Parts: sequence; C-alpha cells; structure tokens
Amino acid sequence: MKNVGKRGAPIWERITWDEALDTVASKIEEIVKEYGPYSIYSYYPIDFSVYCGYGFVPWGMYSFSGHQLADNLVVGIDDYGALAGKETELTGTEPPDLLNSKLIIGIGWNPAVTRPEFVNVLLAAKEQGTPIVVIDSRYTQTAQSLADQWIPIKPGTDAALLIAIANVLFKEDLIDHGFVERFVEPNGLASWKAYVTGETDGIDKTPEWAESICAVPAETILDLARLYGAHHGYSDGNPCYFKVHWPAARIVGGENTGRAGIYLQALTGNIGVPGGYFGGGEFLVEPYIPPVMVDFGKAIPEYAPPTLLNVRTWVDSVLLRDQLEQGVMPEAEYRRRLGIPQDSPLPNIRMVFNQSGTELGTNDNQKQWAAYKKLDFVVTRAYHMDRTDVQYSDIVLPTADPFFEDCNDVFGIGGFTFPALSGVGTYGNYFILGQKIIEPPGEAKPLVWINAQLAKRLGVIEKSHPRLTDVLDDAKAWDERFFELQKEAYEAWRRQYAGWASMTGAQPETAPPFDEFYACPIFRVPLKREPFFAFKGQIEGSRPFNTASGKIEFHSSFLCDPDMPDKELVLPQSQTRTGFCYGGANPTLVTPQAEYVEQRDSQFGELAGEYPFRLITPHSFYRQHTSQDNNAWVGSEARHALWMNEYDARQLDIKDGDLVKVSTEQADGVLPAYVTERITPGCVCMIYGAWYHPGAKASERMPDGIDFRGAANNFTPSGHYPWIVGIQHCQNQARVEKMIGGDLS
Amino acid sequence: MSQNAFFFDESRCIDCRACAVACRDWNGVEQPDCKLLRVFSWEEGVFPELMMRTVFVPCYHCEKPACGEACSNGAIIKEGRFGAVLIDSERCTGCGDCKAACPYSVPQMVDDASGPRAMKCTMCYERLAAGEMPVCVNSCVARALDFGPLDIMQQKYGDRREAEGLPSAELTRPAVIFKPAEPKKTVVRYDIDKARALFGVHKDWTSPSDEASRGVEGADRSIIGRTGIDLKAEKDEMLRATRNDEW
Repeated sequence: MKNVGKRGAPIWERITWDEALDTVASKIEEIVKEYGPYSIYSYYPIDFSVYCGYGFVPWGMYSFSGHQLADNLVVGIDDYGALAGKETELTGTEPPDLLNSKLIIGIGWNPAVTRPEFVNVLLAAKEQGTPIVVIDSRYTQTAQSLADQWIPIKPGTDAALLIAIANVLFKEDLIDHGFVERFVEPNGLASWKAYVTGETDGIDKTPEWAESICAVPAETILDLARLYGAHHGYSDGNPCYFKVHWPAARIVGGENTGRAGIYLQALTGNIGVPGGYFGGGEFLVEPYIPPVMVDFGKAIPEYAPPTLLNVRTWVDSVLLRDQLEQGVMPEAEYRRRLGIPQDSPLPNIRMVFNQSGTELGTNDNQKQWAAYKKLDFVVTRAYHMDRTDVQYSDIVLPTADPFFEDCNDVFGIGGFTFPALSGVGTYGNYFILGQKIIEPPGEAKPLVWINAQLAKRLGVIEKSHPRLTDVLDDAKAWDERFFELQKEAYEAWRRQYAGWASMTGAQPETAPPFDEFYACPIFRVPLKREPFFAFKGQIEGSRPFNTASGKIEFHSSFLCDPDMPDKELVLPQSQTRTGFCYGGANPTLVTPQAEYVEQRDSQFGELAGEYPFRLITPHSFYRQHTSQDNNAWVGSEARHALWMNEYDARQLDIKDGDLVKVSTEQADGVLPAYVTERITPGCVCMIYGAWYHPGAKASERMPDGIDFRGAANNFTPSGHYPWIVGIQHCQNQARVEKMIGGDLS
Repeated sequence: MSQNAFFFDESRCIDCRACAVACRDWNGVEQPDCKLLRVFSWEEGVFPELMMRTVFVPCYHCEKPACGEACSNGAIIKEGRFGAVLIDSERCTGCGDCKAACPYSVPQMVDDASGPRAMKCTMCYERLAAGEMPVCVNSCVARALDFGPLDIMQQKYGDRREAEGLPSAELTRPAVIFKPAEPKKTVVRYDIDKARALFGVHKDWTSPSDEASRGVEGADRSIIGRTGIDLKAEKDEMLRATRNDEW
C-alpha cells in the first residue's frame, strides 16, 4: 500500500508488490548514496544490509532499563551480550528454583501476567508453605491468587523502601557476614552504609523516614526487614527470593531501585545460592539442548555494522540533527545525548525501515511521530493496517505473521528462555517446530520473501538468500523449500544432539528421526533436578564477578569517572566491550551508589502541582507489547480503561465507565474510567500496548489529534537527559478530569 | 446414567480468561455478546483490605436441569453418556424460556442467519467422545479447572456445589464443585488505618476533612466497576459484567 496523503493522515492507494519493492529498493540505494551508510534505521538490522555495505546496530535493545545499569555495574553482567553470545555469564533463574526459597518477596512483580511460567511454581511454593509477599501499587491477580500478603506502595518510591530495609539490616546486624566478607567490595559497602544510616548526609533512612515517602507503615517495613534479615541463603541455607522487578526501575532514577535490590540480596547472602536470586536480568540459563539452526547458505558478511546509538534515541538523533548541523549543539553534546560511542561515526537517519514496531521501546511517542515526519522515506512491514507506525509510513508491505510462515533463522519456539540467535540462550528444555499453519491472508508475504526480493533488486541475493533464489516466484515451491530446509536443519541438529547427549548425560540419548518428530513436532528433555541459578560459579567456585574488584560493588568507579559520559562501558575482568555509552550530563548526575533521589517528575517534584496523579503503564494480560490490540476476542473479555481509586474518582465526580481526560506533559487522551479499590489512591493506571487512535480534535502536544485509545507510550517521558541514556520510563505525573459533554479542550 | 462435572478452584484462578477465549474459538462463536462460558470477576473490600473474586460459569449440566423442564418444544435433552445438557437446534424456536428458567442464565439467545435460537455450553461433547477434556479445562494455565465423573470430583475436591454470588445448589443440583479463594494471611504486621492515612494525602485536595473521609464509611460502592456478580445481565450489561480491565 502506498500513502498518497501525509504521514499521520494517510490516504492509501493499492499498488503492486513489484512497484512497492522497486520503490523501497531504489530509496535504499538513493538514500545510502546521498547520506552515507548510517542513514537507514531499523530496530533489528535488515539481513541483506551487510552485503550492501550499509546499516548500523543500536545498543540497549533489551528493556531491563534501570536494572541494566545496575546489573552492569554492581555484578558486572551484560545480558544482551550474553544473548548475542559475546558474554558467557548466564543471569537467569529457572522458576523451579523458587521451590528452594524459604521466603518470596516481589516488588512491582506481576508474574500472573508477565511471567506465566512462574504461576504454577508459585502456587506450589505457596502450597508448601513458603510465605509470599507482593509489594505493588495495584492489587493484581498475583496479589490475589499467588501471594499471601499484599502491601501497597506509592509507585516510583520503591528505592526508599529498599533503603529503609537496609537501614534495619545494618542497625540490627541482620547481615550475612560470611557472604559479605567474601563477596562484597568493602569500601563501597562502607560508603553505602554511611549513606543509609545518615553518616554522610545527616538523614538516617529509617522505616519512619521511608514511611512518609512510600506510604508503607514503618512497623511493616521493620517487620519485613526482620523477616528478610532472618533469611540468609549463604551462611544459613535459608534463602529468600527477592524480586525487584523491572517496572520498579523503569522510572527516572530507576537505576537506584535496581541497584538497591541487588545490594539487599548481597547483604543477606542470597546471591548465587539455591532459592536465592540476585535481583536483575533473568532470562538466560544453562542450555538443555543445542539450538536447531536453518542453513540458508548465507555468505560471510562483508560489512560489520558499527554500534551507533542507543535504541531509544534514534528519534532524538533526527530531531536534534538541525542543531548539530547549524553548530548550535556541539558534537560531543550530541554524542552524549544519543549514547554514541566516541569511536563510532555519527548517524544521519533519513529513512526508517520498520521491521517491527518502533514505538515498542520508546516513550513520548508524539516526539517519534514528529521525527517520522522529518524523514525522507518510511517503509513499514506490518500485519495490521491500524498499527500506529503504519499510519506514519509512505509504503506498507503487508507481511504474514510468523504464524503464517515457517520460522526462518530460528527453527522453532520453546522454553522459558529467549531463543538466542547464537550463543548460549537456546530453548530451555523443549522446542516446537515453527510451522506454517494457514495461508497468509490476502496478498501478505513472509518477511524472508520480502527481504529476498529486496536483496534481488539490490543485487545481493546470491549472498543473502542463495538457497531461496529459485523459488521466489513460486509460492508452492517456496513452502516446499522451507520444509526441506527445516528437515535438513533437524537432521543436522539430530547428529549434533547425539554428541551433546553423550557429553552432558542428557536424556533421551538420541532424538527421533525427522518423520517421527514431524508427526508430533515437539522435542523435550526433562528438567534438571537442580534448577539453574545465576552466579553459582562465583559463590561456589573461584570465578570473580566481572567488576573492577572482582566482587559485588556497591560503589561504582565507572560513574565516578569525570569522563564517563563520553565512555563506553567495558566489563573490567573480561574486558568485553558492551557497546553501551550511557552518556548523559557531564559530570553525570547518576550517583555512584544507590540513593533515593526525588525527581522532577515524581509525586513530590515540581510537576506534581499541575499533574497530581502518578501514572503507571504496566503490561497487559492480553497484548504482547502492542499486538492483539485489535483482537475482538480479547475485547469481549477485557476492557481498556484508566484505573483509578474510588477515593480519587469520588473527589472528581467520576464513576466507572465515565469518559475522562488524561494528560501528561507529553500527551492528551480520552478513555473510560475503571473505578476500583485495587489501585492505590493518587495513582492511575493505563495498561501499555494500545495503538494510538487520534481523534478529530488536536492539541498543542498532539498535532495529529488527541488519543482516544489510551496508547500508554504517548504519555510517558523520554527525558533520559540529563541523567543517562537508555533508561526506559514507564511512569509519569498525570492530570485526570471528568469529560463533560463534548468538551475536548 | 453417568454424570460428569466441572471443578473450579478460585484460589488458583488468575482471571486470565484463556478458558473463555478457548471456548469462543472452539465453538466458533462470532457474536461478542454471546458467551457460552462467562467468567465473572469483581472486587470486595475497601483499600487496602481487598479480595478479587472470580467465578467460572459454563453450563453446569445440572442433575435436575430447570431449562429442560421449561422448554415446551422438548428441545433440551440430558444425554446419558456424559450427563451433558444439550439443545436440539432443530427444535429450538429461540423463545428464551430456558434462559428465564436457568438460575445461572446460561443459555445465550442469538438471532442470526440461522434464525433465533438458544446456544449453550455442550460440555465439549465431541471432545469427550474423542477421549479429550473440555477445551476450557485444557486451556487453563493455572490449573484451576478440572473435569471428570462427579463422584471422582467429589472424592478429590469435596462437595461444595455452590459459590458466592451463585444461587442455591438445591434448585437444580449443578454438576460442579467449587473451591473458594483463600483469605489473605498476615506475614508482616500491617496497620490498615495508618496505611489509609498515609495514602490519604493527595496534593490536589489535601485537607483534614478529606483524610477523615477516607475509610470504609466514606467509600461510594456505586461508582466502582464491579462489586458483585450479575448473572442476569444481557448484551452490553453482560459484557460489562464479564470483562476484566487488564487489556
């Protein structure tokens, strides 16, 4: 489809596949020729670009957010590097390890929705009598069905609670000394203890201090700290799983929350022990089975795409480009704002090739749509026309959902770990063949077909898709070829598996032949009796943590470095380059250790006057990111509405189902209210993942129309700067009013 | 005659609606307001002392089906192999007498190209005949559902045949066993009144009187989304009563 209207106000004209592919291929050539190899942005690099000599890689594609920095600096891990196979430290914990825990505490943790693989394990843990406490600003189904006790908290204040728990641990000496003496760097520990107990700034961070910030009663914090402090995993074999989940750290200043969570688990000796948990990233575990890889016969890449900028700053790179070119913004400043490593060339993004939604990892989406309008060309492949980025595109390539096509590089799906493209991630203990189930609707085509067609037009198909060249124009032959490739991949894997099984003792010793597998295309090995958990090698063996001292570091020398905003993070022990250039202000405003810092956009900051509510944007039960937003089956089982407490609704004369106006500094929207006691007073919740539906009425902040669907990423801030680049912000301060009649002002 | 029964464990249910979506899929039901399986969820209590309640309402294939007695066309039968209560669509005129008679309002009245008629849960009769479980039971990620011969279900789960918000089991002897949600425990001390006061502070309208009004007495239950179960709700009201707010 071709947009003959404007980006944001499209008028669609049906064109042929040939015209669409010819246009896209010639735009790629044109733009690279004029603006150089770093002019086309794609969330994931397009597979043929490495044969065309263009493209770049963004860093920070995973969204652990504040946890990412915490994980990097406190325990020296890089999950994304591990996912890509360049790091070997595995940071996951298998859910069954929770059956070894004697106490389970989760903050901002809603596994009923976001970690379904934990549900049955948690139910089993509860049945065996393990106390489970959930601290959250909503009474979720996790709080109802999986937890013994729910403790509500003001969103965004978790760091204060964690620091007050540490205060009790220090004062009452509930520290696992055996662990701390061996594994925690002592100077950093002393420095943080001085902060927590008020030696540094005169403020003793007691439960009473925290109570006024986070609204958890002081005696509850005291009890919680004492209970927790009685669970030392390392010295007493009495472990606690303490999960400070990602959303708690997806705020401005979230790196404090993430770091404090890890500190607590170190103080109580609950890192690297069965039933413990270190607090951060969580996917990668020891492989059960090697991955099955389809051999497309690709040539060795002739071009290595450089890492250019943070995945969330491509929008700023476009919007700030004029200031750079006019000399208003110095290059060093431009680099810091975008997280561009010093030895990398500068991007000059003129085109977006959207392979998957670009709003996925970004906040303040209105800024993104403004950037789209500045580009020379936007092409999007999509399953659904009403997806927002489609509305801002010049050409849309109707693309079959993976369910309509055979999977390509990755053979199948499986397990509770991410199937890494290479390296250590693999499948967990099973995989399922990714099969074509039904014919794609209309003229939709598989992604691989689209890329191969473009590669053909760009003259590189013999390198990028040599084994598909002869079946491009024959759908039946295409399907047959995929079947052959999968069969071949399985047989090759099967030989590899036999060796693997004899080496590792995995059962069964051999995998069934393809025909037998194909009849019931699931391959599974039993779960190990002793579930995997992270940092066993450091705690039971002699492996150092990948930090400067080789120990867990409470105080970061990297953040103390005045040149830090211009430096890429290199993990000290392995000397692995992470590609992360956190940038930010010079000197950075991120404190070298976790502290509770009141932010401008907090409930206590300057924004709270005009925007008194705290907006949270958690994941949905039903949308995987933004997909399923137009699924009518879900629509008959669930409603997308703004959650607000009965108390707040009563003050504003709002009842359930009333339309309300919700505004933040970034956006305006209208949606129905869900009035409930399940959310803390002062907090409103817009579940993340809806597609922006602009109405006829525009506002200053929303020139294409205010949002009538409640697309959460319109409402969250993107202000990484001046803090640090790459932290995702999923909360904000908001104003809520009752809609009266047709008043949309 | 054998009688099969459902088991619903509210204490395990996470209100995800996988059962309801699987039911819609398996039965190919297009109309959004026609639900052969309704899941009702509602809240109880005042912040921060809360419970979320859920109940699973397919057809309970009663031992004494009131719908069958009410049908003047003889369109509703209780078959003997599994104990399923089934509607003969050839005989059904869509009069709605069965829905009016059912204490759970199970039959769904539809009027489309095939004409007016009642539709309802079939216990997944074809699946049972093929040796499989009902699709809702198979789809439950939290293993909150079970199904099998009534006597076996009773042995495994007891004989609680009614759930909160549902009519008395004496009316129709529904073939279902319920396990209710568990009350919350106190792992650590939590002073409800103090917590309410701590949360009562709100910048826009902080005043002593506002804080004082924050409590059980001041709450207005009528403005809350769902505070109970409304089995008789139809069309939009039924959708409102059977949707959660997690989208």
